[in-house]
Amino acid sequence: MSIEIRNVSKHFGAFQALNDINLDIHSGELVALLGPSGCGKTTLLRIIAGLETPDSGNIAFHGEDVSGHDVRDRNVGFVFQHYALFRHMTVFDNVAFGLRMKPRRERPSEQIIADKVHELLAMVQLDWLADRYPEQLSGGQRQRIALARALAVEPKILLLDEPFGALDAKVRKELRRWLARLHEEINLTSVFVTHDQEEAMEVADRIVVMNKGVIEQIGAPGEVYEHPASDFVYHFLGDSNRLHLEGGHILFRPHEVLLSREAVAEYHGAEVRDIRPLGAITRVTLKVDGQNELIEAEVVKDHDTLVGLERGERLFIKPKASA
Amino acid sequence: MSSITLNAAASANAARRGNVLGRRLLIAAAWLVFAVFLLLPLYVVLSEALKLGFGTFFDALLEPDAISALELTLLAVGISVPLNLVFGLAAAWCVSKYEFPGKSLLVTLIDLPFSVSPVIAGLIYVLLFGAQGLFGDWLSEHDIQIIFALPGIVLATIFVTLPFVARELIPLMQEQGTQEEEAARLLGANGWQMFWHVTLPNIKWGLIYGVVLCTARALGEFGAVSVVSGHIRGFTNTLPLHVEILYNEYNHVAAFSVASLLLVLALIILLLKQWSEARLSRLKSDAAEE
Repeated sequence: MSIEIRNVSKHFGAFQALNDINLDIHSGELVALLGPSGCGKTTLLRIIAGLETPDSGNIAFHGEDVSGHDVRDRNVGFVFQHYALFRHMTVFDNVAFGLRMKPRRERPSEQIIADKVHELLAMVQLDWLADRYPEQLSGGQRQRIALARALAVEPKILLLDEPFGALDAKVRKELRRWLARLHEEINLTSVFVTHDQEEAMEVADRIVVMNKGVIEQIGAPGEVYEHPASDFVYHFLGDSNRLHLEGGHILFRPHEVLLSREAVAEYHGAEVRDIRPLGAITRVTLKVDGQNELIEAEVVKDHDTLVGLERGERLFIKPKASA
Repeated sequence: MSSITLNAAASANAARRGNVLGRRLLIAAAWLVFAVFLLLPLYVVLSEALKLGFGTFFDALLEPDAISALELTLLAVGISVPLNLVFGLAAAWCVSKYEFPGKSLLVTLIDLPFSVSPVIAGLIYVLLFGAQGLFGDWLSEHDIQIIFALPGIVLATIFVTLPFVARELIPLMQEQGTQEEEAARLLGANGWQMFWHVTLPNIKWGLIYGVVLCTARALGEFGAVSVVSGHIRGFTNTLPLHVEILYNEYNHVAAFSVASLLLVLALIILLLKQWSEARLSRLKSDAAEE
């Protein structure tokens, strides 16, 4: 089911959270709303869900205007950053909640509900936790239960608000790969909010970069990374360096750099401030002559220039972009 | 090395000895205060009540005026506590789930009955609903009696016990936030289902604790009720008022007998409070872990 967002604006008091947002999300797509905190991405997600009302503009699901529909009639699955599991219910009852709340005519029998719940728990690989309470689970487990609970009512759209934000780095990586695979299997139109560009790049089909209540750029991960529409997008999607030249400066990513131990024409002399092996790559922090802003260069760990390199030595660098 | 460890251990021991002495003194002082101010009066009440044996004790309790006072007290409690439960729940819900102008003023005003003397609260109702009061003429025209009757007693009790439930629930509900309710709505629950299946189980123990405190206060309320009741024996006398009348008539045994009835009710409520408090603190520590 597609989502069409038309001219949506929202403010809280004097703060303009969203300013005339237009966005189309295609059926079956996994879209990331990416931006710094306070950029309006969570507000937009909550407006799609119906948890907030926009000041102006409207939301349509598959062409049907749902702006006037109540939250419970929109049939969206929603996953909260802090899980929002019902603390006094077991995992089983949490997942069964949506089915049990259906009007009597539509409500399946307890046997069908039980089968469905176990099927969902098996899908999130936590069937063995059915009788536990949320407080007895780890963060990653809680979030998978929250996802199972949201999927139980067979929503047409899945919305996730910083779903991995409260988890530690390792669990976060596992879970987002798992989510990407899950999305491939069930192919549900999904929107997730994140402030982590790596997460957005890894999981999403398309990324919507937001800043200060407006959309800066919409595009596939490779597209927004390679062809950023603004300086903001460039900075937000990855680490960046600034090299001052006569009459201006150029921006380049840490890996877009050529290094040499010998002075070469067009290369800039620099002093090595720090050397950090980070696994497959090594990061070298450099102070280029004539500028105070430090530059970070990332090269493969067996790069020729790194052999025997020590702090305080001289290196010569050239951004690849200016070739 | 070992001597340093020994020295450290010795000084730690010395500190602990000092602590032990201070701790014992403090505990002894606490028990002493408790005994003189709480246990001794309890003992006096019971011993005075039973001075002439169980026969007179039960006579005092089974006397028609005493029974009607007990009935009136239980009736007033039975009306005012449920009303305050509903009010407290509604107020706590508004304050914790919605943003609206004047919110902090409302929270402050909920506490007003704690800071106003109960006698003044009673007088306010006399000034409003009494024969010479603001609505006095209208009420007498329509033959409605509020002051010196049950409605006045209930109103005064409600006023005095109004903050208990709301005070207990507001911080609890604010701490729990609105996300579980939002999740319930997103899963298709209607307002009533959301309240019954999500909100109420989460605040259950806080609610019980507030109701227990409210009941205790309502049972024992003297000042405000005294002003509005008119002390009509057998009609508008509550238990605390009945005790006072008996005492003023130098009928000490009967006064203390009725007082011990109030005492027993209070002890039952204290046990209920202890039980709900224990459950509540468990709940709060769970919430803190989130």
